[in-house]
Amino acid sequence: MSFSGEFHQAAARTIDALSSLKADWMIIGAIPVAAWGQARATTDADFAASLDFADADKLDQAALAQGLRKEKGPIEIPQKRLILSKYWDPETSIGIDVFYTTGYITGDFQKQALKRKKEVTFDGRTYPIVSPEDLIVYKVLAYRQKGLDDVGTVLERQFLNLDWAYIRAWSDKVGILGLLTDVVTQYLQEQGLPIRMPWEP
Amino acid sequence: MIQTAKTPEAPIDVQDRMEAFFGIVDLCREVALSAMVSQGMTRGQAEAEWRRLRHDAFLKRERPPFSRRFPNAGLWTSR
Repeated sequence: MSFSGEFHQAAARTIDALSSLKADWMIIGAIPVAAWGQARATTDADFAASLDFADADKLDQAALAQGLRKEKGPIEIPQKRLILSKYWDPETSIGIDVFYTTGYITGDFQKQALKRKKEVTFDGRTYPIVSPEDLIVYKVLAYRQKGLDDVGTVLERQFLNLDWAYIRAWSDKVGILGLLTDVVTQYLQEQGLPIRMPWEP
Repeated sequence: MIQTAKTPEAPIDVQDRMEAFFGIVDLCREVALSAMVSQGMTRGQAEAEWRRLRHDAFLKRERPPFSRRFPNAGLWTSR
């Protein structure tokens, strides 16, 4: 089966599990990166859900009922206050991360990001995905090599259309404004543009 | 004041972007499988190995901070 078919199958199982718990959800990770930036070869599917990690047992049961296998979780990415559970779809060999909406400030961010999600359509299906602004905040917050590379590609395609005041405000709240400034500064240098932060009046 | 109902935004068509994404993954998988078959594996063994590698990669945690594209980005712990 092509990866597209595998993705839709694994996504359907995850969405059924989240819907059975009446959770609000959206896709984060590779799909929005491909939509707002540039595609790269990755086979994981990442979801943000309105569930608190206190609901982790319920999510485990709902995922199991859909044929997903629990791998780990809830686990916290060190120092980032991002908490997730990891599942594996043995039929498609796709890994699924589900990020919880916690009581931390990062949970407040995710709550807001869920309200701003965008609907996209492909292969005759419609999925809610994270907005480009919130994708940038997630990626800088997670601060992984590939994540920052993804931010670069989103900036290449979306720089002039982004709501920078929003990105700046949430970056400040979750404590990554310095990192965001570093990344934007280097992006502007790379593009040969004047070093002026886009959120400055 | 006239109030109008908010019109829901139509879904954004990202078919081209997703075809590129899924195409890259399929292509990478086929290259990896071909390489394993050329090293002596059967197609079935290569597919099993591909699944195992995907699973290992999924569970591996990337340790921050590093970026090829933004090498000067400040350390997470010193922001």
